[in-house]
Amino acid sequence: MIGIDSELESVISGCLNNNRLSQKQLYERFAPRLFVVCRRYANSTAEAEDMLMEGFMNVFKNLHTFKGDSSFFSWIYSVMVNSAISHYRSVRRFRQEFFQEDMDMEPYGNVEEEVVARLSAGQVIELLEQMPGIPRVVFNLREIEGYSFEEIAEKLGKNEGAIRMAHVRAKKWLRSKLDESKS
Amino acid sequence: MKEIFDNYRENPSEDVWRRLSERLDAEMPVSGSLDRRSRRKSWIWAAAAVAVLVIGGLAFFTLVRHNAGDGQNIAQVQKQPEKTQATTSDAPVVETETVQVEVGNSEAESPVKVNPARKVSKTSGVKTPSAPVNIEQQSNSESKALLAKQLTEDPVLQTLSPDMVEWSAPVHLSIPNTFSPNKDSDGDFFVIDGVENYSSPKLVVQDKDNRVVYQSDDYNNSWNGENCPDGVYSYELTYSYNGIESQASGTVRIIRP
Repeated sequence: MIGIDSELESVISGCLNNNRLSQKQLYERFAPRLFVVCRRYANSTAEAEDMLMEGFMNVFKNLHTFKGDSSFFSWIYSVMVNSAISHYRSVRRFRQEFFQEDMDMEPYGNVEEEVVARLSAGQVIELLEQMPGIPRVVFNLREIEGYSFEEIAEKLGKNEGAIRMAHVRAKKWLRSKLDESKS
Repeated sequence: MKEIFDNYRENPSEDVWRRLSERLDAEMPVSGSLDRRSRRKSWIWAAAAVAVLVIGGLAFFTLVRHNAGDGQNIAQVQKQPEKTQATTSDAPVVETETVQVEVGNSEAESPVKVNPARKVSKTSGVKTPSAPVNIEQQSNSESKALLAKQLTEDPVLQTLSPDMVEWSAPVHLSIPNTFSPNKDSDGDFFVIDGVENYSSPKLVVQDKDNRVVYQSDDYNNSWNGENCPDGVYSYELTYSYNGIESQASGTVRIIRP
């Protein structure tokens, strides 16, 4: 198995036996990294904690399906991402018509480059927290997890046009926030 | 962008493990006698037994009614369904944090598969709308007011914010007058806000000499201005809603700074 030392191996088999101490050890080992993932997708620390809890329940319930064909961390990471976005899968449509703003498409420049250059990880999380929910999910899946629009459309069960629209909104939102902080 | 998070860590509050272990105790209790697999097996047998009893009871009941049997038999049959219900609640009914919104979308794919036998919705005591608000029969402002009221009062719908809910009224289209397909992943597509709400919207784009440079019978924001030099183009978008066809036309400038 990839990425598993003997200590992790015994923790995992303890978890498979529903051993509470092993489960706590698994949680303590991965929570600091996975909580950051949830923070990126959530609109508040409280929501991120809910996502983390939900995500770990899914980890423990599905641990028996981990085949060892990928690294353990990438498996647990993808369970957490899928858990975080599951709320948005149940949203009926990505309708954003309540924003009656001008859709003049000025070029937004390379927003991600500027974000990476100017902001720390903590600041990016604080910014993402404020972004409207659907653009935030799509932005995360595209710019941070690296999925294509087609893959995102499939993951969220929505059509690709709506995904692209949400992506544009995220960049536009970031652009205006960055400009705001400059002036 | 992912790199900036490489060494970044954050700890959740102490509270989270406590809540998590409570949920584990409720949903995956540390068993004395049975392990998970044999417990699942006994669930299946219990479910099968219930099904047989219910079907048998129903069959007996219809047979009795058909033969206009006496009152005593019917009373006996009616007792049975209640009895079987008592035996199914072996596992404690759990209030989970899971909020299910009935929208008929496909279930999550693996690895996140929630065992249906254990999934209990928090909304069991609360009235959950199983169909969206029927807006067609109301005026737009009435329906908005009704939906706003539901959003604030219903604990399930409260998890949705207004901009996530679909209106069934015709949708406003927002069409940009420029876009910049210079492959900087910003403004690289001709994105029409709202087009995703129409089925098979048709888009035809022509250059200044009225030559067709792009055409689609089911436009989904994917035109990237390929083989089109910078300049002004004219478009015509045809879309229909409830059998009524509409058109939007105008010009769009392609500019690659």
